[in-house]
Amino acid sequence: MEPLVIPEGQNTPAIHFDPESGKLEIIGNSIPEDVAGFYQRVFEWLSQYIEKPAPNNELHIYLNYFNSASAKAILDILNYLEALVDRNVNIQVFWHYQDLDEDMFSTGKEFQSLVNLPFQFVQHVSE
Amino acid sequence: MKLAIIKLKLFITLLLMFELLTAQSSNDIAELETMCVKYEQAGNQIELAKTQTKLGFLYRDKGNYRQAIEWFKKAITTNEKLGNYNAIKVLNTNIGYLQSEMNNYDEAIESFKQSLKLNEKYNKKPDIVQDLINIALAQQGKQNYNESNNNLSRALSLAQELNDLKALKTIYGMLSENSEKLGRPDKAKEYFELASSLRNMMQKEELKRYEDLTKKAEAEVNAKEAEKRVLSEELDRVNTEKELTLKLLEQEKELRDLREKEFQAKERIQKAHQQVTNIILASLVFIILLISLFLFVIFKQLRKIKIANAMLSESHRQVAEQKQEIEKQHAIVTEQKKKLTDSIMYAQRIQNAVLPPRYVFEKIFPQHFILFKPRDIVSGDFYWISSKDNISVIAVADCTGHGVPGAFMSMLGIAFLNEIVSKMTINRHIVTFHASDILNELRNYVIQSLHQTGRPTESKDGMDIALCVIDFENKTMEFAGAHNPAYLIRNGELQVIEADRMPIGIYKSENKSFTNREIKLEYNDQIYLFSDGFYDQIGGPKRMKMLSVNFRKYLLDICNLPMSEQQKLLEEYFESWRGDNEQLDDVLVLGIKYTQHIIPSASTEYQWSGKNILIAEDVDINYFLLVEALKKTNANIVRALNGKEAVELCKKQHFDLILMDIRMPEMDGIEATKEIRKFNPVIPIVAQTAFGDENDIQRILAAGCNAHISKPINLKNFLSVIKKHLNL
Repeated sequence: MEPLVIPEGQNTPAIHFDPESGKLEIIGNSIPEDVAGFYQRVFEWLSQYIEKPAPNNELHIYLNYFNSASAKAILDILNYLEALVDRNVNIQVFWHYQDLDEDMFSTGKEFQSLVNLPFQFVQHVSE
Repeated sequence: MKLAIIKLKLFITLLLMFELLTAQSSNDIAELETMCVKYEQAGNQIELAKTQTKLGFLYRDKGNYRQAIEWFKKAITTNEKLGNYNAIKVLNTNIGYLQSEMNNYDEAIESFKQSLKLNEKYNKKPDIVQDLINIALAQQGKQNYNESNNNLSRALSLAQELNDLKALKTIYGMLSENSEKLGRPDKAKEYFELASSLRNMMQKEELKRYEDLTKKAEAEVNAKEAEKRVLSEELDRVNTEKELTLKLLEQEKELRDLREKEFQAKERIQKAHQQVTNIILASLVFIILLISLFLFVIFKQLRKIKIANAMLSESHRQVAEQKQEIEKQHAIVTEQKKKLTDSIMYAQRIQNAVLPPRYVFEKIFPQHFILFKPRDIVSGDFYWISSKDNISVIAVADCTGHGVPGAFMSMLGIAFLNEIVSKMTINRHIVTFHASDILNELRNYVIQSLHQTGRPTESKDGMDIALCVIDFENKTMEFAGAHNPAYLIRNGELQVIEADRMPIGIYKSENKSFTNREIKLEYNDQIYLFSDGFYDQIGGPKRMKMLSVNFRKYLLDICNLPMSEQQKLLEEYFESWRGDNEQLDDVLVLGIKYTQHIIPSASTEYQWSGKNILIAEDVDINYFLLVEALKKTNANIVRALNGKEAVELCKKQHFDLILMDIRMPEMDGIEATKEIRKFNPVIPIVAQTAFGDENDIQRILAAGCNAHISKPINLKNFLSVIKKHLNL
């Protein structure tokens, strides 16, 4: 299976999903006008991936800003990955946030409460 | 008088427009006057009347009112011969307006009375109301305020009968002016309040109409989107055809290559020819044969090329046609975009009308600011205020999305808040309520109206909100929030009043109550409510979010400045952070300073808090006027929509007094009074009778009423009658 690589755009995050290592990364801002269109590829890739996943998986989410429609897409990604837990495949979610961005931290907490996935919070010190 | 002049100008403008529409090519006065003579000689009364009227209007437009009146009068004479009473009426009214304009009030009144006489004869009630108002206006001009009042009270009764709110508003306005002139400021104020109550009511109705319009706009937007989809499918098709054309072009290239090869072959043959000149005839014949064979092949190829060329030019033509089609569609799309934008611009007007007007804030929080910057034309953020006596409820909300979808949600939010809070405060059936109660109720409304059940596929739309209930008497504030907190700045320190981490809308299928937080207030406390659009804006040197921590820091920097100054600085701060980046979300920041609230001083003479009054009244406007009249007495009011309901309520509940309308559906006031008297002989019942109907008065008193008041009510008289029968 090919890795999924989408470079960072003006309004879209960088996406790097590597099926070999099981490392899935979403980094940047997510404010596309057509959220469904942008995340379509991600869901297509994921639906194939969860059939033959790597034994150990890490999802890294490090977003600076996302609109409410993107929040729904992120929740959907998390819901996809819940299937891995059901099959006893290792999956760990890393929620990255800037130390001053308390809203991003509490949003992460809210996502954590909405899905059945192990979360780790990673604080980044502002420069 | 100012009102009169404005009305007059408006009327003249309308007439002018009417006239412009009907005027024929010849507007020349002299020509028309000659025509008059001709028509008169020919005995053509119909055309004569028309021309005379037209001349009147022309002179009026030139400002020659005397001539204008002369012609109008002539036109009246002609119309009298024709028996055209409608025209006579209109002409008289016009003469009246012109006479008023020249301050000839007696003549004006005379003309208006002529019109009135005709309208009375044909019983045209709406026109009678207008005539009476006109007469009253002229009497105002003459400073005959008492006579003016007499005509107004006649107009008032009729307008009430017709339920003509607009006329009622005008009448109350004029009554207020007259009372002012007659040195009766109390009455003037009373009428003024009635006029403004009516205005409010009319605005509410207007709003309802606007909401319907919004629904229509939504349907239009959907239809437009469907059209757009069809267009884009069409474009796809055109693209496929383009690809086909490209394939044909490739074929042409292949053919060209073939031709090249043939030419090379020909050259080779010529060489061979030179070599075989010495060889025998047989081989010559063979070569000739070979050449003819090749010629045959070349011919065939040439024909193929010809056909291909023809096909190519055909496809060129098709491409040109398609291009034209695309351009046409582009024009359509542009036109539709414009229509859409226009429609959204109109929606913006509706949204602005629904948001609370500034003076409402001004009255309760003289020191405040509202920084409101929608991302698109319409906004998903909204602010809201409601106030009753010592309690004010303010809220700032942020609906899912922005633009049109956000605006739809915000209209819902505003309507729901209005309904919930007025339900809680009206009639004081519920004396205390909490900020969290309002949010719980709002969440129920949203979930129910969006039919949310918690299934994963359905809409998770909703809103975030920060809501405060400020009690000026107890100097407290209650706060409840859905995602959105509030900030309180006191003595240079900022306190975050935390919100619950859940939205207004379906969430994990839970129904946990919102948390109610109570805070003691001190004068000069500054409270800030906001959506996240301000501090979530991306910008700055590294294209990062502003973050709430920086927002708070900045608020502390500027908190000692006047509120209006704070708004200016916040806006500048936001814009400089944003720089060249686009605004990502709607922005709303509301700041208020808690100062001493000036409670309107209620007269101590009529204070009936704790008293229960039942109003049996089927007509909304009459009920509304009674509630207004009793507003400052603090009495509890319960409404019955008809006599039957009144009887049932009396059986269930204790009342100190009943205000009984006579004409009601199901069971009238007389029947109801008789019924109530069967089980309660002591409760005071005061009947409301229509403008002195003696027959009704006799019947209602016989049925067991204690007293009657006649409509339209006189506030002082009304209150003193109620007071007397409340045994106070």
